[in-house]
Order: sequence, then C-alpha cells, then structure tokens
Amino acid sequence: MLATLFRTASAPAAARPLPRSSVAAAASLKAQPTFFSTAPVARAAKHTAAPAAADEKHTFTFPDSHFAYHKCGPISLDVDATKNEMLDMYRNMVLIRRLETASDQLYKAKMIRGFCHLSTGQEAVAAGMHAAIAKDDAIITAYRCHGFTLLRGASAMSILAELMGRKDGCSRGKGGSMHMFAHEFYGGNGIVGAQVPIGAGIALAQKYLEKGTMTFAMYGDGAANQGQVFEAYNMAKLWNLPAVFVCENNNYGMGTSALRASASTKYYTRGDYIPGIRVNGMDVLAVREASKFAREWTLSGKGPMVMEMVTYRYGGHSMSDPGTTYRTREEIQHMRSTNDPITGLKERILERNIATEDELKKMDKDARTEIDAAVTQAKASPEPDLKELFTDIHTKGNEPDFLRGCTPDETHHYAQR
Amino acid sequence: MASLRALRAAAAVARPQRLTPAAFAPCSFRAMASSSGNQMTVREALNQAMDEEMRRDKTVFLLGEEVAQYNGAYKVSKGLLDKFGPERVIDTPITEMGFAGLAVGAAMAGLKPICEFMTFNFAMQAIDHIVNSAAKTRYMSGGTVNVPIVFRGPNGAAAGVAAQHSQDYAAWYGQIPGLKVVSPWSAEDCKGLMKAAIRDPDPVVVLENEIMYGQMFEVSDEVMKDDFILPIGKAKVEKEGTDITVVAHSRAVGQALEVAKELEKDGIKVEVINLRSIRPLDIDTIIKSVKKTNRLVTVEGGFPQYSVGSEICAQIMESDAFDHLDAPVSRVTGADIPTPYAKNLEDLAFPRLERSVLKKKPFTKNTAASHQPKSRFSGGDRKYFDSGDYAMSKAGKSSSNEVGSEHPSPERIPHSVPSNLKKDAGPLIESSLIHEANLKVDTPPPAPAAPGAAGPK
Repeated sequence: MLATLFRTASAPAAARPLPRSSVAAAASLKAQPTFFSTAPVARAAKHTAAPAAADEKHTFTFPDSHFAYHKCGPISLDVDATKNEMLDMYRNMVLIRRLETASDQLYKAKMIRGFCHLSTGQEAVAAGMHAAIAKDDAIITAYRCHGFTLLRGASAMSILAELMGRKDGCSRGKGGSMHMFAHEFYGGNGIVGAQVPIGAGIALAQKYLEKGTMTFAMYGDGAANQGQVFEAYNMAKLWNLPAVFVCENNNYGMGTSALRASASTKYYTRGDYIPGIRVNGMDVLAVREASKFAREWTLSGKGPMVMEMVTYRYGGHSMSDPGTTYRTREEIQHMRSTNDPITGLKERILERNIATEDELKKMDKDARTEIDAAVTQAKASPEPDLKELFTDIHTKGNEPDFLRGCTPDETHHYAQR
Repeated sequence: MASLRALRAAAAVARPQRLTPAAFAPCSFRAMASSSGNQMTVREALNQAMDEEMRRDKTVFLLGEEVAQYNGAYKVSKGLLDKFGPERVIDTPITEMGFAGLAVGAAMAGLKPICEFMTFNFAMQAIDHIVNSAAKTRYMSGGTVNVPIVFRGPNGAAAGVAAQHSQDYAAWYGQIPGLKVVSPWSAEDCKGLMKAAIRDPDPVVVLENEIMYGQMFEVSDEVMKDDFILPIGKAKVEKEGTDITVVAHSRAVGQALEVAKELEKDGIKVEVINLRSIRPLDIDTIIKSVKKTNRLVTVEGGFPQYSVGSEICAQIMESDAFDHLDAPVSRVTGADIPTPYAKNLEDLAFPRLERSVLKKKPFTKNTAASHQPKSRFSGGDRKYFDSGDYAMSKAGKSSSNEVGSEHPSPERIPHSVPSNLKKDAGPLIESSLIHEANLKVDTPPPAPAAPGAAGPK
C-alpha cells in the first residue's frame, strides 16, 4: 500500500515492478491519495507579525487521511499545540537525527561495531509519542531504539558511549546498539517480536500494582507477522491490560516490503478484536494526538489498542544495508523531500509564524553542538574495566562462587560472602 | 549367527528392572537425619513453598496453563486460587511463548512471577524468552534491569508418553549464563529450593519431575517451617561412603540410593551426592568426594551427549580430583534415542542403575593404581562401574583392541552376553545390544548360549 503511494507520486519510471497486483495497489492508492501529505490544512490561520507567545495555543487541522480506524475513533481532526510544545517536538526530532547522523559517522569510522540500526526518517514516532505520554508510562521496542532511549532520559553521551562499547554507556558497554534501557524504557530488544509479549507483561505489572500507567509495546511491520505478537494481543485483551501495541510500519522488514510479507498490510486491524488506529507517522502532531488517544483509551479500562504508525526509514535496515536493492533511490528521495517529519513541522511553525527561521536554525545548531560535545565525551570514555566481564550476570551478592573464563585458569571467583 | 542367537537369548532374560513409579511408591526416603514423623509429598512441598512465598510477598504470583481453576495439571498449585484469588493465580491460554514473554515483562516491571510450564517439553516454545529475555537482560542492561522470575514445571521423562513429552532439559538450561537451574529430588529439596528460587532476584529454572510428585518423604520439623530455605548451588551428600561416588539429580538420586543400599550388602560403600543444583554446579562437593572414593559415576535421565554428566566429567578432568581417580568417570544416562512409547523399549531408554551396578560388582578400591598412569588404560585388573561405555569392554579382560580405535560392537565386547544366562536373573546387557537383539524377532529360537559364544572373532 505504502510503496505504491509514493511510487506513483514520485518518478514512476524508476519504480520497480510491483510485487503484487498493480490493480490492487492502484486501488489502495486511490483510497488514500493524500496519506503522506503533512501539509496542514490552513484553518483560521493567524498571521501575526510577531512570533507567538510560548503558551499560546495554535489550532491545526489534519487531513482525513491522517488516521484510519478499526472499531474505535474518530479522533478530532482539529488539534491544539502551543509554541513550547511544538518547539520541544522539533528539538527532539532534530536531536534524534543528529544523534543518528553521529552514529552513522562513528560506524563508518569503525568506532561502532556489529549491528547498528538507525531511525533517520522515523523521528516523528519517538518524538510524538514522547509528547503524549507520562514520565512513568513504559515503552519497549525492538533494536531501532536510540531515539527512544534518548527521549526516555538517557543522555546522548551515554548512548554514543554505549554504541562504542565504552564504560560510560547507558548499559555500561555491555549491550551495544540494540540493548539500551532508561527510566521505564525496557529496551532495546534484539529478537524480532519478542518484546511484544514482554510489553504486555509490563502492562500486567502496571495493572497488578495499580500504578495507573500504561505500556507502549512497539514492533515493526516485519515483526507484526510473528506468532507471539498475536499471543500478546490475545492475553492483553483477555485480561484488559493497559497496553498499546504500536506497529511502526516503515514498509520494509529488513529488505522485504510489507506487501511481500503480510497478507494484510492493514496492521491496525490485525488485532481483530482489539480496536486499532492508523496514523500518519511522518506527522509528529498526528502521532502525539493518536498516542494520547490510545493512552487514554487503555487507561480508561477499555483494554488494549493497536496503533499503526506509517513511517519511513531513509537509511538501510542496518549499517550494512545500503537500502537501495529492494527500493528505488527515487522512492527514498521522494519521501525525504515531501514527507520529512522535521521539515513538515518546521513548515507548520513558520507558516503560522510560531517561531522564526532563525530560532529554528539556532535549535538546529544547538542540537549539533550538543551531540558533537556528546561524541567527544563519549570517545573520551574508556572501554569497560576488564573486571566488568563477570559483573551483572547475577545481582551483586547473588552470584555463584565462581564462573569459568575461556580456560580453567581464567575462572573468576566472586568474593566470599 | 551364533552370537546373534546368544544375544537374543540374552534379551529374553534381560527383562528391564528399571524402577517404575509403582516400585517407588512403597518406599519413602528419610530426607533429614532427625526423625520427626513429618511426611510430605514432593507435590505438597512445592505447593507449600509457593503458598508461603505468596503469603510473604504480594508481588509473587503464579501463571500458567490450568494453574488456577483446574488446580494445576499435576495439582501442584492445588488450592492456591482459593487462597490468593484470580489476580495472583492466573490461568493462561495455551500460549507458551506469549505467557513466558509476558511473565518476563512483569518481572522487569516489579513483580516476581512464577511461570509454570505444564511440562518443560512445552517450554521449548518459549525457550527464547527464558534464554534471551530472562537470562541475558541483566547483563545486557549493565545491571539496570532485573528479571526476578521462576520458570517451573515437570521435566524429564514421564511414563508412556513417547518422545515429545519425555525429555530432560537440565543440560539445555544448565548451559546458559545468567540462569540458575535447580533439579530437586526430595520433598526437602523441593520446598527449600522452590522458596530460594522465588526469593532469588534473578531468573531461576526449577526442573521438577512428574514421577516424583506423589513420592512421600519424611521431613524434619525444620523443613515444615515457613522460613526453611536451601541455598541454590549447593549439593547434598545424601549418603556417605568411601568406595565410590555417585552423583545424580532429580529422580536418579532415589535410584542411586537404592543401588547404594544393595551394594552395602556386599560391603561396598557408595557415597551418593544429590546435585540439587545444575547451575551453579557444586563441583567442590564432587571433587571432595572423589578425592575420598577415587571413583565417580554420574547418573541422570537426560540424553548422553553434552549431558550434565559430561560437564561433570570435564570439570573433574580440569580439577586436581583427576589425579585421584582410579578409573575413568562413567556416565549413566538416558539412551541417545527419542524416547520410545512401547514399555519394553522405554525401559531401555533410561538408566537402570541397579542392574548396571550389580553386574560390575565387585569393584575394589585400588588407590595404588591411581598413581600409575599406564594402568589406567591397560585393562587387566581394572573393573568398571558403568553400563555402556567402551572402556567397560576392557573390564576383566585383556583384549587386542586399542582404546578408541574402533566403535564397540557386540562381537567385540567379550562379556556382552553373560556367561551364565540360565541362573542369573538380572544379567546386564548394553541397551544397544538388546535393541539389536529385539529387532531380530524373526530369527529362529536361540540355542542356549555357551560361555564365550559372543567372544571376539
């Protein structure tokens, strides 16, 4: 569905043959012709000369195509946002993009090892959700996790240090790119789909402990086909858990397009008996509004909800994937130029004169300075102490007497208790 | 042909004498030194442990298939629903991967789940969550995320349930860093280790045994108390001895004790170590015992390759206990086959320790030999204890075969057919040989085997 949209919208000549019936593709295109448009519909737009006050509300109207519903809704298409809120979201998205850019450079400089999955292009999902939820709500996601880790409170330095396997990393250098954690952020999980029932379990704990909080359990369009996702749906609905299952649909599970992997790409309907909502995940305001809606839905005792955030990653699946063998460069270019979440928000802000271009540029610059400083700091962090090899396997004080190293004489003896 | 006939004859009299659950039932083991008159089944011990810990800590809860309204598929959770309500005793759908993952999530977020698998055979559906989600998260998060969870359920072979429901997973979970794995045998073990597992701040796998659930044990007053707890990672010397060390876990401990009792009559003093914990492995206790007895046999129900016994062998090799061995360590394990359904075949698939030991008696303590490396491989006066390895073929015989030069075959194992078939009611046959013999049902009735009929060609 997604792929067809922008293919037709961009240079069709370069598009690869559609894997499925192009008739069906065309039909889905007609159904949501403006799905990816982030252009706000001007509604009583105020064009004041002076920049807006920090807490002044601005009203925007989403196009109908921003949302689709399954057994719930609709969400109001009119949305209010203050200058502060918008600038926060802008800043967060810019920070994530800078962070990912820095990661990309460090990877290419061979300072980051192994797998590294960047979320460039998908920033609106993390930033919009972050703007919608409470500090003690939980998020769990898969391995494309740097942005969430940052917004949930880990410092950019600790993330970069983790990526480089340093002592000051948020997992003390033991987790790497895929295993980052923060306050009520449960990673950072490397097994596709496994985080979804874990997320349902976090929600079970929240309900059990009467915390009044909820969990976003996130997964990609690839993981959406894992059996355990459906097992989690079933239990969450059965027990009315405060869980929102969020399918971050970037249209490619690694190099396999959603159409080639899913019998139904309407991921928001795949909870069947669980209500669902599809969101334009390239529009941070839409993500925020939908996340608020889902959060309130599940906290009001109505049980779980499925969200599908339709988004797009500009880079490959991971650093080893140029990302161009299974999709065209034109497709990527088209998404960047017409649907970029940062540009979209920027246009909105400027159009309403909520902030000046200079203010935004300063934010861009500040983000760059902040991340550059974090890179420098992270590089300066030493590798973990070799003693760390044997720590954190069990709770301190709860270890076995010893654990073996590679040879018997490398056996590590824990202090006698 | 002669040898085949002889084999078949051997098979005919070699009725397996594996202890069946029924054979176990009448006897009860005294678990503690003090006799208090308290009796408890393994099932009750597990139930009591969970009951007490759920009373003690409101964040402890039980989930699994049929644990609540049905009172547990094996009634281990009997009565807990009534005591603690449906919020804390949760019937799950049949969805192992889902509920194991869910339990791990609950553990990460502040609860202490007891995740019951109806049997550990079904936990294979969920093993990713046990290994990747539970065991590794603490390390991967640099110590910031704890997973205090218990995975429990019956493990190992039951009776007559065929291959998919008869498997011992001790070696599987025992390999994973970050997990603790216990395999209790007695009621005392079950109560103390289950409580320790629930209180442990890290993930623990509790491997129970279905056949043991109904087994009654005497327990001390101490075990009956609600603060009775056993340390994970410590083995227990169930019976002291000086001549040979037998290390076992779970149900095999009882078998080992039975055999030890038999051998006692012949003046052979067996030291029986109940492993209790698979990981951490209490190798120190085993080493200490081996230094005393100079002989070691491991017994378990699991498959032989890469088994718990294999690990013990390796660790003994790496320790100074190696120099104290008078004979190679022997492993008694399940056979290297998918568990068969038919009773006679199933009987051959699991340790029949009593027969093995009885055949190989007497083995005398020979400390002098331990300092003569050559004698280790020279056959001659060496006597072996186990039931199936190649080295045994050298027992009491001089053979031209070099160790390791060839696989054992019936023809090449001098004593693979007992010499006195007629009067010995319990001859010992290698299971693989019996197997072969059983398959030859269409061969003519066997002629009485002459001594040495199956000797080397």
